[in-house]
Amino acid sequence: MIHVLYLDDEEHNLTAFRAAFRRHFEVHVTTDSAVAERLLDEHPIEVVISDQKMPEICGVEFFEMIMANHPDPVRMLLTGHADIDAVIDAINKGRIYKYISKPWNEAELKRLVEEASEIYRARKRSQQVSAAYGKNLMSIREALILMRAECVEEPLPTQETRLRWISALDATIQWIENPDSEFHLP
Amino acid sequence: MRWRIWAFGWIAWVLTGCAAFDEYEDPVYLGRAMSRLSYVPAEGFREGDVLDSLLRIKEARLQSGSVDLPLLLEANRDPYDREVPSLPNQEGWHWLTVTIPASNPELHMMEVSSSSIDSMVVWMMCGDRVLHQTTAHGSSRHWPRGKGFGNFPAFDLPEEPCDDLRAIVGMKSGRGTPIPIRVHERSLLEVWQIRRDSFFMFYLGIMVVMLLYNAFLFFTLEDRTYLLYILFLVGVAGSQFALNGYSWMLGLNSHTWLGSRFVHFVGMYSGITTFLFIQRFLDLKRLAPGYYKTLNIILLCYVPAMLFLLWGKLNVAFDLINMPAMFSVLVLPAARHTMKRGHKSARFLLVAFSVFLVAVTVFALREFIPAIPHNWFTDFLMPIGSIVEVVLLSLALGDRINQFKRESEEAREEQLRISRLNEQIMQEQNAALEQRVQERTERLQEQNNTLESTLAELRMAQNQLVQSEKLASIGQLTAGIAHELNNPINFVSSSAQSLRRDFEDVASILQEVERLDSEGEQLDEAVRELHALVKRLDLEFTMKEIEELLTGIEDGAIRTSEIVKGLRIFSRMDGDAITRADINELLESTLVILRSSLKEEVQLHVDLAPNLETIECQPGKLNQVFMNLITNAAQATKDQEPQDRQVRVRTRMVLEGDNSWVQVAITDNGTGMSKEVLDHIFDPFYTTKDVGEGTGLGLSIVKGILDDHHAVLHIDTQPGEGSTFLISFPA
Repeated sequence: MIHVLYLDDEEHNLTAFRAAFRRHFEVHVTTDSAVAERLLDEHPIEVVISDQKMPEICGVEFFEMIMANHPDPVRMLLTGHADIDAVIDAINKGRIYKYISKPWNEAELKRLVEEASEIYRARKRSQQVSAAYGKNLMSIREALILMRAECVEEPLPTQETRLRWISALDATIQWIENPDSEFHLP
Repeated sequence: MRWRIWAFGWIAWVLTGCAAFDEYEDPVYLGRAMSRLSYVPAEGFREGDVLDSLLRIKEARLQSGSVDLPLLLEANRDPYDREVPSLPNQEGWHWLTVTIPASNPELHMMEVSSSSIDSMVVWMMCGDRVLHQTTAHGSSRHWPRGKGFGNFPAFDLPEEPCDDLRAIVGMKSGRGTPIPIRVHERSLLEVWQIRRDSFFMFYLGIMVVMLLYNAFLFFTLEDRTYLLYILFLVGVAGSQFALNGYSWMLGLNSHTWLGSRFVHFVGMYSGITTFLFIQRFLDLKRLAPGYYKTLNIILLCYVPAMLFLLWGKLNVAFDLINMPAMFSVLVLPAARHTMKRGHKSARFLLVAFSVFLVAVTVFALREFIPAIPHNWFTDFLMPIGSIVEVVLLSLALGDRINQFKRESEEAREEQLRISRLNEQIMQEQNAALEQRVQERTERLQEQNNTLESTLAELRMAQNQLVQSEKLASIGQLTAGIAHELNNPINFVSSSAQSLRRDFEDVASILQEVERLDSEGEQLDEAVRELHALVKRLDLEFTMKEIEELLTGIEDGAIRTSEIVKGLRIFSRMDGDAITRADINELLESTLVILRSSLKEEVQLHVDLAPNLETIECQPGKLNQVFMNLITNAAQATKDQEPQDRQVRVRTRMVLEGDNSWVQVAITDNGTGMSKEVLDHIFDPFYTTKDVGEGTGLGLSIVKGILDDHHAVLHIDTQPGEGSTFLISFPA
């Protein structure tokens, strides 16, 4: 189940949201931004939806606030009327994925949440992959360093061959350490 | 120029007259050419002595025939070869010897043609023998003379024939004088004397006429110049009569005190009157002050003359009297000067005096210049000159009247011309003025038009601004409304869908229940299934949710209807219709719209009095006022934390005697306003907000609307202590 967090100062909206989506998602609702932050800590929330106009804190500010500790959940802004300044802020500061206007279309909102969830999962997976890739690369590097040490110690058919091996290994290690540099064998 | 021609003509006439009369009158002057005179200075003789001697001679020697004294006198004789000798202006006796040519003596008389001799003695001598002696001394009436009135002494020549006839003449005078001694036939002398008298009668006649004429003018015109002219005329005439020996007719004997000084007095009088008249006539005081002063100084010469005359020094007095007469030449340049200064009548005076001066000059010069003859013409030249002078001056006075008339005419014409000119100038000025006025009017009209169009443009701009202000509030309204409406619509519609699903769940349970009734057997089974379904569908939760959703829908319905109501009230904004409205209602509707935007920003406290009277107003406009003031109040607190920002809206009813007021107070705890800001807040386009945040029209529109409602706006504010806008509507 996709965990969705919805923050709005209007209690009825929360009720309606939960009623609409509880069958599809794991819905967390609150009127309090502090509670929302705690919910983020406690649940693996993938999608965060916030109303823009709230008395304590506006939606964009809330997104900015949670960005530090919870950068991954996909953020969507919900607002009663189109306020161009709010939209600009939302994109630049709040890094939001979508902007939804009230009244929401239930089906569309559902679809958007699912899409956002996919994005979240893809992002997560990509993070995992890249982390694994990085880890593998590091182990290759260590192996190469080991190999190079052996090359130095072990006698090889010719001195020339040994030197070629060593320089090739050096180049490879250097490239792994600095992937932006151009890789070429001597 | 004409006066010059006259002057030259006069001089020519005088000169030709001199020559012509000389020829014509020659026979009358038998004795003149022939007389040989010797001048004997009276040295060694005292007047008294001589007189005594003469009297003694007369008494003692006539019989004895002794001629000691004449002979003695003759012994010192000095040849005197001038035709007309002069008696020098010296005191004492003067002696002459006259050689009388031989002719028929009983027909002849010897005449001494001078009236200036005060005393005279004549001895007729034939050789050394005194034929007879005549003394002219005392009353002129008894002087030996002819039949004329002139007192020129004339002596009969002795009847006995004599080849060597001589006359020894002794004379005494208070003044110098030429002494023409003539020997005439008695009849001719008498004719001549009569002619002379006739001339002077004629002369007298002219003078009297002139005098009367000018006296008449004087009394008519009352111009003192005429009086001076008359006095001058009397002087001129008097001196001529005196010089020509007619003064005895006034009973003045030459030997008396007055008689011997009469010519002096007359001369002096004539001089003074002449100068005064000239001064007056030429208006020297004004036109030529220099000449005026000079003439006054010259007149002072008469003072010593008078003193000498009174003292008895007649000869010295005579010299002093003659001196100013010399200076009378000054009259000519003075007249010229005044002529140049525009005194036209001065030309008459110039001519008159030129004529007189020519006459005087010729008369005086004939003594020294032999070419000028002593004849009838030159004798009468002075009186003729004086006639011309007097007549010309009278004409001048007439001309002066004419001149005055002309001048006044000219002045009048000048005045007329000036007034015409003025009129013309005025007309021109009027025209110019009219044109200027026209131009100015056109310019004003143009300016007015420009102003009007500018005003229209301004009005349009203002309307646009007002409209934009209105639109801004409508924008605020729509934004508020949108948000306010979108929330309930959102949760109502969403809740409805959810409710349907929940209901479906509940319906499916109910169907199971219904089925339970119809199929009596397998009840336990069915109940168990039902329980499973209820548990699966979480009926308890669903029922709670349904409850919540229904509440939400209800709430949403109420809220939307409230918004719509508020909107309906607020939407009267565009309508200017005056209706009775409840201020509380208006405020509530405004607050509905503002609440959504304000509730996030400020703590809004609303305290509306329940007993408020309705007032006649334009509700839409008042909504604009409240919205503006409440928005301003909220903005004034924006520097503070949201929980500290306070905006308070209160209404209340106030009774003041017969008047009652509906008061609205909008209070904030914001920045407040300084006195300077307060002075300007109602000025259009005055704003303390940042550029783009406000038009600066809000409060000026508010003021306009409140004025239309006869509402009183009181502002209580201090910088840093917030503001209260208290509006009092007359109820």
